[in-house]
Amino acid sequence: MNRILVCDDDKEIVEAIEIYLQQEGYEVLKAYDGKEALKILGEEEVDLLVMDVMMPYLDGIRATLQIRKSSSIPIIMLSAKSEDSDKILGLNIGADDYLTKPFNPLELVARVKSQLRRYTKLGNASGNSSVVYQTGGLLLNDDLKEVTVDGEPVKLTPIEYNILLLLMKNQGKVYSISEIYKSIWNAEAIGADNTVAVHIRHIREKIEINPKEPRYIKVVWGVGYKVDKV
Amino acid sequence: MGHTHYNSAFKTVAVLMQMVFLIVVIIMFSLLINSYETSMFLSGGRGTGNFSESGYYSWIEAGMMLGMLSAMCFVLCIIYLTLATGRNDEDEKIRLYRLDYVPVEIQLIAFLVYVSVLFAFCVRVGQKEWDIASSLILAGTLVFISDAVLLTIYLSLVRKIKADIFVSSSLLDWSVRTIKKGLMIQSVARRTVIEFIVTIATALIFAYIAFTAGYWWAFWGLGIIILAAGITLLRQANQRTQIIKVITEISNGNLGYKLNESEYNGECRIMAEKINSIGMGLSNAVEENLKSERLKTELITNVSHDIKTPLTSIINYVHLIKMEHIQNEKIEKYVDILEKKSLRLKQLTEDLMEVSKISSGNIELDMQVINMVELIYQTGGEFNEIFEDKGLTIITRLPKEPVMIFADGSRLWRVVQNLYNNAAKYALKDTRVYVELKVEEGWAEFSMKDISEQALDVDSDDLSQRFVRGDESRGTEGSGLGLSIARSLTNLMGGTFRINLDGDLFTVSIIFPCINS
Repeated sequence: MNRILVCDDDKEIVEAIEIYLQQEGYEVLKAYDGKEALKILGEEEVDLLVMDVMMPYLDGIRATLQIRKSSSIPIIMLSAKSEDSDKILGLNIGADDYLTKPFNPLELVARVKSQLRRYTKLGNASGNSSVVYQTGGLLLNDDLKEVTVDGEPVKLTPIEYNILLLLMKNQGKVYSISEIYKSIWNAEAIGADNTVAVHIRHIREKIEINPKEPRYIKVVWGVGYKVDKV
Repeated sequence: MGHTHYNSAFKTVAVLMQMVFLIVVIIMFSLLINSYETSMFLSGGRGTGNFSESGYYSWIEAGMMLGMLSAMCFVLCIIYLTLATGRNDEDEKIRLYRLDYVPVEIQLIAFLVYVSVLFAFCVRVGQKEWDIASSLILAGTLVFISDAVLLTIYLSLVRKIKADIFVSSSLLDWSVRTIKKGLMIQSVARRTVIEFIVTIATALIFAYIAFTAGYWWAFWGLGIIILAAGITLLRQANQRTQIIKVITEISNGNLGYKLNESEYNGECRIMAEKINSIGMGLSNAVEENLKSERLKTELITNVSHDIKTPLTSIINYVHLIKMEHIQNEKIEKYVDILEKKSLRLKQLTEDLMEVSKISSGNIELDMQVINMVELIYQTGGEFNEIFEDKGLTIITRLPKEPVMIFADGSRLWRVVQNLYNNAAKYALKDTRVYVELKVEEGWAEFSMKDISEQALDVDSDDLSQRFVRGDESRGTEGSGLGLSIARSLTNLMGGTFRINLDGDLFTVSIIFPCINS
């Protein structure tokens, strides 16, 4: 059983998160400011930390900096600040994920699961096959024609699989719709349809926790699609 | 001389004494000039030349001496009066008489009139025979009057100079001032006409004199006038060019530009001053506006943060209630409403923050060359199922070749997304939505046409204002900020945003300049 520390200065939020996580079978520890969180982390064994940014005494940013000095425990940040710069700051100083308030509780649970799987299982997953492409928690094994996200297998249609394979093989490269069309269907794009875009959306819906904020398949608007190296 | 020597008694004495000395001088010299007749008179008026030679010479000698002495005394008196006039023992101020305010020209004319009258009188008098005694009395009287007139005018002049009103009280100065003032009051147009006429008239007079009479100074005058006119025109043209340059800068938004007022004259200076004050006013207003927009954004951001925290609890606990699976239709319905509204509140706070950030210019654009066709396909892919659910058919007409524009891809996606959302929310069920991209003369126009579900009785301009929605009832989803955000973002990226309403046909278009790749 995994132990999760939830830290937020709003007691009701902590309690709600506790209920959701307990339903999934996690043990929940509670803290109401950064100092308290640090104290619990020092005393107890904790597998994952969910922490708010704006808190009294010690805010989430400083607490994360402190924790990162000695521990690589997964940290999911919660914040009412929704600016890109706030997210980037949070991720840069060592948080593993960033969720803006108000969040969908099921999304939080999904992200907690994802982080825990990666933390506990993923370390030895790769390496036994030669044609494995990986970015973050996304793994594509071309020998087995298998795709897993944080260890969980995902079912894709052949076209979806081929599109993902193309993007995973050339991580960081942006493919336009017509380029994808050409390489998957081996034909010139006739234009005037959304086929590729629809497939991409379907892939995102299968492999992303929140398809609107994709982690793996990124849209470069007006240019194309890409999978980023992580 | 000390102060104590300027009192009026002294001055009166001096006046009287100079008079006496003058009369003595006059008499002596007239006697000397007419020495022969005088000697006759003195020796008893008898016949011809048998008076003693030595007596004659000794008289001349004495007369000369007396005359010289009196002349010297006269000059001394005049010097004293020159120094003393207008002065006073009590203070340093120059005392002026009413006469001194009469313009010097009038005084001069009066003097000339007096001189001509005197002259005429003398001519008359000279025709008659006078004996010595009568002519002496006559001469004395005339000298007395003339001296009084001359001295009055002379001392008045001295006082004018002392009080420094010689120029300002003159008629010439007064007329120059009056003309200047008149010109200042005149409108620029009339003034230009007057200046033009005066210049032309002067030039014509000079030309006439130069070419008919051939005077060299007239040629010079003509040359100077032409040169002066040329220089004036050139200088004004120069100044106007400068002013136009600065006006252009200001109208382009460079409000910091300023004119150096001292470099300009005439109406150009007035223009320069006004332009500077307009520029100042504008930049102040812009600064104020930016500041207040920034404050507004800050306030909205803070309020949004404060709203989001309790909203998180609401959303979470509503969801927890739902998970309890209460077997009560009513409660299920209520919870559904709560869930929908709380999500709408979430959307609203996010949109509100975005709108305030955009309108205060607090966002950074990542402008790049992007393909508009690609973007529309991408957007279409995101929306096709939403449209299908509402029974809407999208008819897309896009050019085969890429259409490259310069924009921030993710912001433009936000714009197009808002337009698609707008159609999905407000289009009539089971109708067609037309999406079109046209390229005409270097401009890419993206347009979207749909049939509105509700009758639109709002102005097309109002629709993209904040919080305005076609239905006005605010019952459905949407914050009413979508089109406002789309418009602001389009404008920020340098595009044009247009809404057209024709009955229930709703057309929205965004226009960007194409980039030739």
